[in-house]
Amino acid sequence: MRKPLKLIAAALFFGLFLSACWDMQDIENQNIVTAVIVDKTETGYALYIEVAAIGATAQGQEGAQQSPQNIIIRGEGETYESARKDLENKSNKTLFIGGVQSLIFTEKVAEESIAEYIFRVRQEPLYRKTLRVFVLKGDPMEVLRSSNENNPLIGLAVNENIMSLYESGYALDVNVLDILAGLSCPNKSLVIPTLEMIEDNVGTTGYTVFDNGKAKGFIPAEDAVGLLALTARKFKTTQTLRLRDVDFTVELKRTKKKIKSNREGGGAAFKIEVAFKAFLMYPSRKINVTAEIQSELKALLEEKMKESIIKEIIRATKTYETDYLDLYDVFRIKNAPYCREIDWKEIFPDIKYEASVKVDMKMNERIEYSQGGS
Amino acid sequence: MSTFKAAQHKALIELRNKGVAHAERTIRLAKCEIKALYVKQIVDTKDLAEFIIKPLIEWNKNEELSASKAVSEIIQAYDVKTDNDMGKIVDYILDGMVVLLLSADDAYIVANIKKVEHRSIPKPEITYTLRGPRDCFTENLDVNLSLIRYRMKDPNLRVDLMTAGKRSKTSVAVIYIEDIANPKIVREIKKRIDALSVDILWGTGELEQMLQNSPADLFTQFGTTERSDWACEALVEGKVLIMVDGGGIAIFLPHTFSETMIACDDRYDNKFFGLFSRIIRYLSLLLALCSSSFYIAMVSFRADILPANFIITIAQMRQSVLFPAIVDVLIIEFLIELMRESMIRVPTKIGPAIGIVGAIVIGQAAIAAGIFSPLLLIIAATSLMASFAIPNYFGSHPFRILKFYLIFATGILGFYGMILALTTIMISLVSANSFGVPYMAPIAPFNLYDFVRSLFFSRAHSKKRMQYQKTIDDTRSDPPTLEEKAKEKNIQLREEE
Repeated sequence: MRKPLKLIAAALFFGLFLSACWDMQDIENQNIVTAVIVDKTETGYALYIEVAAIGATAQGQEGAQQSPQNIIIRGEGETYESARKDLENKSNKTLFIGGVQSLIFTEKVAEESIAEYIFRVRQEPLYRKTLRVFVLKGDPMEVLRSSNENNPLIGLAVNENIMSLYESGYALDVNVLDILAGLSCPNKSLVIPTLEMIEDNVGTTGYTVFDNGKAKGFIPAEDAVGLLALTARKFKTTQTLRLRDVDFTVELKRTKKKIKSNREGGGAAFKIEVAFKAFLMYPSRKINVTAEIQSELKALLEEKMKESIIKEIIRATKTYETDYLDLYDVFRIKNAPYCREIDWKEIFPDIKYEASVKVDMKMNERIEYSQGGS
Repeated sequence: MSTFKAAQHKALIELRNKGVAHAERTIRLAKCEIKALYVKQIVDTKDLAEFIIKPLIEWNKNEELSASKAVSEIIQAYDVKTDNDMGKIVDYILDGMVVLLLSADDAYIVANIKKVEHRSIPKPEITYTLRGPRDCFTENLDVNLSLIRYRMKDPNLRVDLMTAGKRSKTSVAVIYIEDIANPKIVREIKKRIDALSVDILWGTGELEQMLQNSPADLFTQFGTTERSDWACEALVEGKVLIMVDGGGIAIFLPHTFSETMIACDDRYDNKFFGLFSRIIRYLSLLLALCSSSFYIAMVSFRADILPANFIITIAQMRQSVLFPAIVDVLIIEFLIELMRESMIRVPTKIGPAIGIVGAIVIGQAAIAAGIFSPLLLIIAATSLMASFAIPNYFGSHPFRILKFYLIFATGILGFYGMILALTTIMISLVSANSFGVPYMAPIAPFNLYDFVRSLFFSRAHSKKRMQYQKTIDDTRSDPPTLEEKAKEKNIQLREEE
């Protein structure tokens, strides 16, 4: 009699396991969120999520609007928590936030503070800590509705766009971990890529300067060469120089960045050495590119890049008075005990600096620079 | 004319009463009578007539003939002896010998002119090789021993014949190279074979189970081979080879996990390619064991480990699937095992049809019906192929079972369950031993020399044998004498009586 009972018990036991009563939930039974936009309203906060439409999705969800291949759900509440609950109520399935690629804050939230939501992201185990963060200029709905055949999901499109720009050296890449690192150190701040609608497509138009989680200003993309040259892990840019009535297109790649720091009269002084490799691309008209022209171009480039770098330092020290150039890290490594005595925020606007730029000009072997002509 | 003695009469009557369907041939000589007793189905009757009966008849002198005289001067068979024990006559006859009772002598003659029907030496069926020899063992022990003797001309090669099975009296050959193999292991295996108490023994498969450390062991402590070159390789490495009459597979011990991953061709091929192949095999093992569980963990527990694009793609693929991931995996694994079993047992003529039906049913129809997703089918098929990459076919069987264990563990506890299950498997492997040799040697306990050679073998550059074997002689050239080596290693060669 005991053996049949044991067998029945074993069958029930394994049957229970097969039903997987624990936290198993198949992915197709969840709404995969690809982008989250955090906005501020008059009464509290609004959360917009973009959900990837898998097969035929439910229609008629309260507060949900359907776009081709993506679904936008908006939740609102007095606090982030109530806004999130509102979202959950409006979603027909459990929200899977492990797929979020882009976390976007509107300007209103950026001006108030992004710290609270970033800390929530840190606490939430499913949120990827490497998800990219952006600031949005404009209407969240307009951005989320701009999905098309080429970019069916805005969250993925924006993420891939910034990733490709970053890999090429044309942009900065900021994720949640970077922001958490910045928030943990009051002497440091950071810049976050900013999105805007550009002719029906969403693109990066510049960088928003943040200090202690709050937006302080904006640096347009065309003006951010110095910023990228000093802070990007990879840097590449294309510059146009005018010489002898000819426009020369030059591609620059940073090969060396060295920042030395020392104490000077109760403050800090920095010596910044940056080197680039420049490839001469296209002249606007036929010209014999002689050694003299090359050396003039080189001097022009060095001048231009040095100007950009100094401009960026001035912007950081005088305009925004916040260190988003990571100079504090450089100073602290060499002067750790001294750093404990000083207030970096006070001395930063008055730091001394000296920038030197070297450019190694090379002709692009694949381009034929025509001989003759003027 | 002399007559047979009482004891001989008694033995004859007993033999007739036993009903073993034997034949009797009486030869009447001038001064004595000889009776030949044999079972004609298992005796070479031509040799019997040519080398035993004819010489006896031609001898026919007027003197009494003793057994020893007949053996030394008359009988021309190659394997002849005398015996006095009447009780053994039945055993000799059933073993294919011819027993010659002589009326003038208490002793009788036993001549070995066995003729057992057996197939010619076949090609290997389980372990195919591209470059190595292709002769493999048959069911006849003598043929198998001849294949080994043909390759190994070492005077220290010992073949100890034992008998197992009260009814079948199956011959079991324990083969080893006396000055290499660890004598402790030899003694232990002989002791275990002696201690066997079974009525029949058909092959090494059964013997293996009887000789294991524990009946609950999942991983075998024995290596298996159907190839004579691989058997000789095992002997040279210091292993003890066991062959059973009536079985075409030899087993050898001790055996470790890393040896499961060694294929015959590794010895014959370029050593770098051998290394590459072994790495592929280890990866295949991991794939075969873990891929289905990984799929469950990924789809049902932690989809966030994947990039978002993949998550969406997987969700789209699974949109029309009826079952949860774990049930899906169990269904497909069951179907694959079903196909595996049916293809082994199906008659050759119908085999290809089964393959086609299996492919169509599982591949096309099941996906269309929404039973499982295409991704799962790919994973399961890859896992199946990976399991075939494990060279030792029998060595892969435990992993087929453990795969289900991993699937259940993952289905309950996700990635944590998978790691937990893998940990228990590793603990089990590390704790096991094969006749005193740790099963996970040379990984655990770690030995650099052995570890490098388990991955990267070249006989020309391996002056010593694998150290974990604890052989008497571990050098591959100019070996010292057996006694010298045993003394150096403080090994007792023989048990003191």
